Formats: sequence, C-alpha cells, structure tokens
Amino acid sequence: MLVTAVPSLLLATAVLCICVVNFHPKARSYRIGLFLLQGPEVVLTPYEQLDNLFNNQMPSGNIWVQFEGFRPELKEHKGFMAEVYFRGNYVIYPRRIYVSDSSPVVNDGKEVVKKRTLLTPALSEKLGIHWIAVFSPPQHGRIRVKVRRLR
Amino acid sequence: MMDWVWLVFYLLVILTLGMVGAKLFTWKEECLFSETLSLVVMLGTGSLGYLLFLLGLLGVRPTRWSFVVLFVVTMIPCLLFFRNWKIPINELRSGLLHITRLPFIVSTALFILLLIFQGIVLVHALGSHLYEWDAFSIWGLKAKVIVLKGIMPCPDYFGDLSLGYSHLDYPLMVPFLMAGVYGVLGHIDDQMAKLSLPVIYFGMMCLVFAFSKRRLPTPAALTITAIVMGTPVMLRWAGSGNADVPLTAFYTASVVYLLDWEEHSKWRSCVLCGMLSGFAAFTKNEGLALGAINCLVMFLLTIRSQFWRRRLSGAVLCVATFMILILPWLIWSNDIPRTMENYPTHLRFSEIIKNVSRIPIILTEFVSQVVSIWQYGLIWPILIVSAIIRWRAFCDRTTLTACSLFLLHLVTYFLIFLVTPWDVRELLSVALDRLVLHILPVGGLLIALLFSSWIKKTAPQTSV
Repeated sequence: MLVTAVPSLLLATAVLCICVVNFHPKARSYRIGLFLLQGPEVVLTPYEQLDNLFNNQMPSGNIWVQFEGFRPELKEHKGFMAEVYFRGNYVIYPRRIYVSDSSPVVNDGKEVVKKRTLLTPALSEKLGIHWIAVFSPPQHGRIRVKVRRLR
Repeated sequence: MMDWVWLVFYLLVILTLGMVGAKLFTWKEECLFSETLSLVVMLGTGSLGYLLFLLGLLGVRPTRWSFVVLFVVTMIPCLLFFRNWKIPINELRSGLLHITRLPFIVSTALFILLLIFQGIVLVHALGSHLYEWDAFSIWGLKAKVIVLKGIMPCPDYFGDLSLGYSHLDYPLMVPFLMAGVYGVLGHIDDQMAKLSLPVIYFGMMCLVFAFSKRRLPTPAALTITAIVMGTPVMLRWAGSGNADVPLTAFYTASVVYLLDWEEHSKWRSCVLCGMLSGFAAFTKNEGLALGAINCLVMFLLTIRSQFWRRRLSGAVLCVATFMILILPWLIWSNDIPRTMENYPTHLRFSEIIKNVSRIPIILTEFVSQVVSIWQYGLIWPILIVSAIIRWRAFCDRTTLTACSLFLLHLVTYFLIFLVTPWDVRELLSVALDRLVLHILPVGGLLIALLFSSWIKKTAPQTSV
C-alpha cells in the first residue's frame, strides 16, 4: 500500500503545484491568456509604434538612426536604443537601419550605443540612406522621433 | 481564407513526411499510438526544416512550388505504405477506454489539463507576432533572409558584422520552418510563422507520455507528462518563436531512442538517435554538443556489454547518421564569421582556470532554478527526492544511462557559463531558464524510470 501511496502522493502534489503556478494571476501562462483576451496590442504597443514608423513613414531605402538627449548609462535609454536598432532591422529587412558604417561589429545593445558615428554625405551615398530618424527619449511610453527625407 | 488553406497544406506536408518516416522506422513493429504520433511530428517537422535547407543548398527558396514537390514526392511512398490502411478505430477506442478506465476522474482531469496546456501554446503561438527579442532578432530575421534571398549564393546578411547581434552562425532549423510558412503563404506573416511550434509541443507531449506509459499505469504516465509539459517555463517559451522548445523536443526524442537502444538493441533506435541528434544540432548550437554527448554515451554502452560487437556497430551507425546530417550545415556555415561566442575556441583549460571565480555565481543560480517553484513546479524536488529514495534503481543500466546523460548535459552547460565571453551574471539572468528547459523533459523521463522501479511495474525486459 505504502509503496504506491508515496509516489502517487508526490505526483498528485506536483500536479496541484503545476495548476497553482500556471493559473495564478502572477503566472506567465495566465497573462498569456489574459493579453490574448484583451487583445495583443496591450503587450505589443511599443513595437507597433516602431513597426508603423519604419514601415509607413519611411517606406523606401535605408534609414540612418540618431539618438538625441539619451544617457547611455541609464538602463532604459540603452535598452530603447538597442530596441530601435534590433526591431527596426527585423521589420524593414531587406532594407537596413544604420547607426554607423556597416563594418563595425554590433554584438549587443551596448555596442549599438558605443559604435554610433556621424553621418557624412559620402557615408550616406555608400549606404544608400534615404531617411534620417532622430529619436528623443520616449515619454509615457510614446516614441518621440523627427523624420527627415534625404532623397 | 486562402491563407488558412495554405497553412493546412503546410501541416499536411509535415504529416506526410512524418508518416513516411514513422512507417519506415516502425515497419512491422508494435508501437503505442502516442509513440507513433510523436515520431510523426518529430520526423515530419525535422525533415521539413532539413529538406528545405537541402533544397536551399541547390538554390531553391521555400515557395509553394517546393512544398508541392515535397508533397508529391512523399505522397508516393505514403500511398504505397498506406494502401491497405484503415483508420484504427478499434485501437483508438480501446486507447481512449484505457485512458478513461478507473481511476476515471483522475485520468480525465489530467487529459483535460494537457489539452489546456496545448491550447495555451497554440493561442500564444498563433495569437501574437514575434515579440521576444531573440525570436525576432535571431530567428525571425533569418527566416526573412531565407525566404527573400535564399541561402545559395550565400546572402550578404551572413557576413554583415553590424548584424552580429543576430548570431549569424546560428543553425537554421527554426528559420527554415518559419520561412516555409512564408513560402506557402506567398507573403510574410510573423504571426503564422510559428505554426510548427504548437505541433512540436504536441509531439513532445506524446513522446513523454509514450515513454512513461511503457513503464507506468496510465494515470501516472499522464501525471508525469503534465508536470513536464505544464511547467511555466515550458509554456512560456513553447509558443514564443524561440528555438529552445524545438531543440528540447528533438534532443528528448534522441534520448528516448538512445534509451530504447540500450533496452532493446533495435537498429532503428540508433539510426533514430543519430537522426534526431542531427536535427537538434541543426536547431541550436547547444544541440551539437548534446549530439556529441549522445554519440559518446552510445560508445560507452559497449563497455561491459555481453554483445559489445552489436553495441559498437550501433554506436558507429548513430555517429554516421549524425555526421551525415550535420556535415552539409557545418560545411555551408564554415565561412560565417563568429563574432562573439564561438564556444569551442573558449573551451580551454586556461580559460576554465581563469574563470574559476565564476563557479559560486553559477552554482547559486543553478540551485535557485531548482527551487524556483514558479518556474518549474515541483519537478526538480521530486526528481531529487525519488533519486535519493530509489537510489538502488541506478543499478539498472537504462536508468543509469538516463542519469549519465542528464549529468553530462548539466556539466556541459556549466562549462558554457564558465567560459562564456558574455557577462556571466547577465547571461545567467537572460538564458539560464531556457537552458534548464532543454533538460527538463529528460528529468521527466528519469522520474518515470525511478517511479517504475518504485511501484514495481516491471519495465520491458532487455534483450541485450
């Protein structure tokens, strides 16, 4: 009796635990269900703003991105700069987003910040830049950007 | 509407590929229905990603036409194999009755719980765009490159250092599966890109259940499946678009067939082990290390075996299958710049000694994962408790083999953190849960083995 009771009890506890941790309001799977009921835009707003910006406001050619008023020592500023570069390059591929010449290695968010350079006419010509987007630090979740067309 | 038709066609190609593969490997074999299902899914998704890569090497991009060709080619053996095939209604009915026999409530409740987990993964995968950083910047970007540019000649992307953050040298199984969806749809839709992921999750669920069912009563097998497949970390990543759950699925399947080879010495098991290890290596770089561990353990099984010649031949067959599958990828990716990680070059004794001070940090994080009920439920505490109580079970070769694989896997990941060029604290915080996820189902298999010795339901007799 004890031989089967102990493992059964262990397994039953484990299943109960799985139910509690998954269907608790703090749980990720609970939140997945919730955000899908309320609409994915609850979670995806920052990307939707970026996606719309790069796809709709700058629909052709490559884009040069500048960051003004950012303090790279602040985690959220650094994260935002990386997000613009990573998400932008994904969304507009095969077009490109540049913060510098294409040769420097950009392995992570820190290097997006570190490897930034100024855009020269020669560089603009070489990289086929059509647009310049100048970002300021976001306020209340809203992205602040000035877009200028080069060609 | 037409999009859904094409998506069903995509699933149909996975199904036909999987059915042909499963039929080839289970020819005249008695298999559990869940085992056959898992094999169909694993071989179907794995071969689809891999065949699209091989077509890519010939300069063919994933399009509707390549899917039509794959479908027609696989339908021929399918029609030959399943000429006299009838829906196994009696088998299904008896299977369902078996599940719902006493204790009726327990089994039904567990079955419903598993359906809910599958539902969460399905809705998460198809209800959201790629929004996890790794999902869009590594896997999603590569999928776009593949569908727009192909892989032959090698597109500029794979040499573009300013996109180094997307890990140019990472394997292409998941990108090819996503690109396949774009190909059949005829346009890019990164919500539907994840179509194959709930299917892979389902396959892994069947696999864990089939393995446990062979050793334990149905309610216990369903329970183990629920505590593996319902861990919050599994549910979080399964539908996210990352490659971790596909890697986990292929790796777990390779371990299942390695253990099957140990128990029954069927030739198909070592071929399947090599093949699934190859798929794992083509999914994530960790899979290459895990495949190498599988091959090593295959050779270790020859030690003190009465039938060592057969064991040795099986090990060679497994390694050959594994090498044949990964060689095209290794050759093709040889020229891609390794901008940061390149772990094999970091795995040096001097590097390990230099980073000894990281050991307490890594150990602390590993222990914190084990006790994190919010991420893993009680799976690790149960594994530890049952291993202590049932320590005699390790005298059994199969359990010992599973345990060795588990420990070797842990040691490998420990070494990775020891030599990583990234900031170790940062890497641990962003990646450790996903790496522990890779080993989670093997932990479940180990629990099934320990429990089978506990409740005295004898495991199948070993032939060698």
